[in-house]
Amino acid sequence: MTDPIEQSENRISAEGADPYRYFFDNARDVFLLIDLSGQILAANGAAREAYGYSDEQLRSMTIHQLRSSDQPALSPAQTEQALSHGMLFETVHRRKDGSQFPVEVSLKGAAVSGRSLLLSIVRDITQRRKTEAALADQELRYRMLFDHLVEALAVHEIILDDAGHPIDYRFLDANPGFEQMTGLKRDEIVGRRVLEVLPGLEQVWIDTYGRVALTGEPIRFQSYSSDLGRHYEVAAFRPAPGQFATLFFDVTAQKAAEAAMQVAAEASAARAAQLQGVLDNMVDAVVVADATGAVTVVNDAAIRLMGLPEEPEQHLRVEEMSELSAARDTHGNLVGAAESPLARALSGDIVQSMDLVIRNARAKKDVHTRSNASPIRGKDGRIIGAVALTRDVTELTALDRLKDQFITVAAHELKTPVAVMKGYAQLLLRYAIDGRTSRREYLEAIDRGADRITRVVEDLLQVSQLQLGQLQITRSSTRLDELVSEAVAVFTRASNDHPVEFEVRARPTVLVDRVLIPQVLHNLLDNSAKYSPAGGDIAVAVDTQGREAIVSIADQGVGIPLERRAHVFDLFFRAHTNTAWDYGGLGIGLYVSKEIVALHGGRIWFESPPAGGTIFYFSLPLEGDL
Amino acid sequence: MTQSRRRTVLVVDDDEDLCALVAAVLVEEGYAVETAANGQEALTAVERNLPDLIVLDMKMPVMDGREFARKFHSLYDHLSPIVILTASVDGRVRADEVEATDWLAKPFDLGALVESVERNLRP
Repeated sequence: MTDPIEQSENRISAEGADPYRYFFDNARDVFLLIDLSGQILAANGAAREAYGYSDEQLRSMTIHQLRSSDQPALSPAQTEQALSHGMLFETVHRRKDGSQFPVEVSLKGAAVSGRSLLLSIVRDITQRRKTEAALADQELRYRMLFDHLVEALAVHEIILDDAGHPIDYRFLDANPGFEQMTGLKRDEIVGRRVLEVLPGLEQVWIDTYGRVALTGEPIRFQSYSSDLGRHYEVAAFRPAPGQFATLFFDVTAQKAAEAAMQVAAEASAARAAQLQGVLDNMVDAVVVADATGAVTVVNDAAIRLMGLPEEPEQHLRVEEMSELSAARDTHGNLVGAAESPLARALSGDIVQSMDLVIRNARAKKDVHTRSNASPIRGKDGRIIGAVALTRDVTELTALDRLKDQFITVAAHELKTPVAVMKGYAQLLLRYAIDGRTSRREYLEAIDRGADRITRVVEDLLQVSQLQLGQLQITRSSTRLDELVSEAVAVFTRASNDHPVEFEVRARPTVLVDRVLIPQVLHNLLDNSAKYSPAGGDIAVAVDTQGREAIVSIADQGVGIPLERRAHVFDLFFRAHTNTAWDYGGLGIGLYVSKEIVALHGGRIWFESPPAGGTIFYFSLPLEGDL
Repeated sequence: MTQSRRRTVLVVDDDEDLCALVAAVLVEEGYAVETAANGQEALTAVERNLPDLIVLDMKMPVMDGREFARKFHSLYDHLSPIVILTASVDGRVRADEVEATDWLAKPFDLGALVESVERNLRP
């Protein structure tokens, strides 16, 4: 038995012409003859062209190698059906270059010399598929347009005057939507001119539509129908020369959505503004950074505290911010950018009460700060940013230092009188003191020591009251010259080293505390005496100037060094420390005097001429002017 | 004591009561005592009569203890030992600063004062 195909080939080669062979070779469809295992026995030219394999290659392959790997092979039952009844199905085939294409396969059984074979006619349906898809797409679009978008549609013909200018237009057609929208009936308007139908129509509409009809340039605009309460987007285009069509798309829902979004945006903007307002009015500096270390929020307090630039805050980074502030710890050691509260929080730390001294470059001063910082975590627990709250504790720190100073000064100042008391008591105990005079002297020294301790304690208590704003003054109408005269007399009795000259240039009446004002005088006189070690007169005068009474106390002492004048009235300040001599004292007399004078509504100041000596002045409002 | 002459101690303190106290104690102990109210007065006293020991307060007007000690050492080359009186908590440091031989912290014990003066007097 010879193969029928080989026979036919032999015959073709022998005879040169065979109408079946010609048809087989030149058919536009792919012809494949396969056996039941799928082995390709013969393939035509269209097959070689379609798959890209040579005839020899095709005949060494099975039909399964041409089928795309994700397509199912025929089941035995299907093969059975194809043999008996033929079969038509769609699948995907693969070319030699690996590319795939959709095909329609027609499978028919063929009994050749008692052997069951299958003839597969394969048609490339790529183009058909494309067309089908395009059609489906187009249909869908039009259906959408008509079903959902186009509310109203009308077609018109423009009417021109002799000069070719549009003066009117005629209705050619309109749909039900147009009727509903305009209230115009199609039958009543078709064929009629718009100025007949709507005599009030403005010329601008005719001009606008006329341009569309004449130039073919489409236009779009929005309009609102108050009758229907709906927003439309109107499109006008030229379907034919001299004509224009108007399409109305209902955009009410879109408008409503836009309006809702606008409201939401405004609400969120208002909330943001409110939040910013809260942030900006906070005393604490707030800085927020995102996970990348970019600073996203900085409130006013932060800008002030750190002296940040007002504008480019959005571009700042956490490490730039710490560089800018040159942060140091309380011992003065530089703190690296990675150790800043915000940087630590970004890496997951919760930072509590971290004290840093930062440089405010804009205010040109150091600021003591206390910061708390913590990471901000997303729903999944990841760190999405960090927030730091920083408080200016400069005053607090200064107060703290003042308190320490207070204790040191007080302890120091108490030691001498205690030494005196202890010493004299031991003196009496240790030695058999004979003679009433000596014993009396020693006991008096002990008594003076106790008085000195009491004075120091009282001074400190008074400072404490002043600091807390608890010092009460009791005013009574007083002749100032008399009050000063008494104070001078008291001072002169206690200290005979410094003669005091007293001059009354005026006799003003003032409303003052009769204990506290003499204390001011005593402090100033004491100061004058202390800083006039070589002796010398002290000149006191009472005068009036304008509506004020003025007391002056002038000494011939050492004066006040220029560089220290600004601090003369500061608490615990002493102008002559670290000099060749030390005058001792708490450094509170002038502070207390300033506060007392201020409580009376007066002022205190001094002059210290280069020639030496100092004149202190204080003023008090005259009675009736308070 | 077996000295041929009474030893002299100069007490320098601006606080009259304290100065008188130290003087009284040392007189009771048999010393010849001179007093000065500040460094300036003390220099004058030293010039007149070089003492065997100086008890020196630190905080004084006109010339304080530090300045006096500096001048004294440069003029008299540490001829007399100095015992300082200080209210400072670190008396040792103060003493070293002014090249003093000893220090007493206020308020001091009279026994300690007497003992210090005896100990620091050169034989």
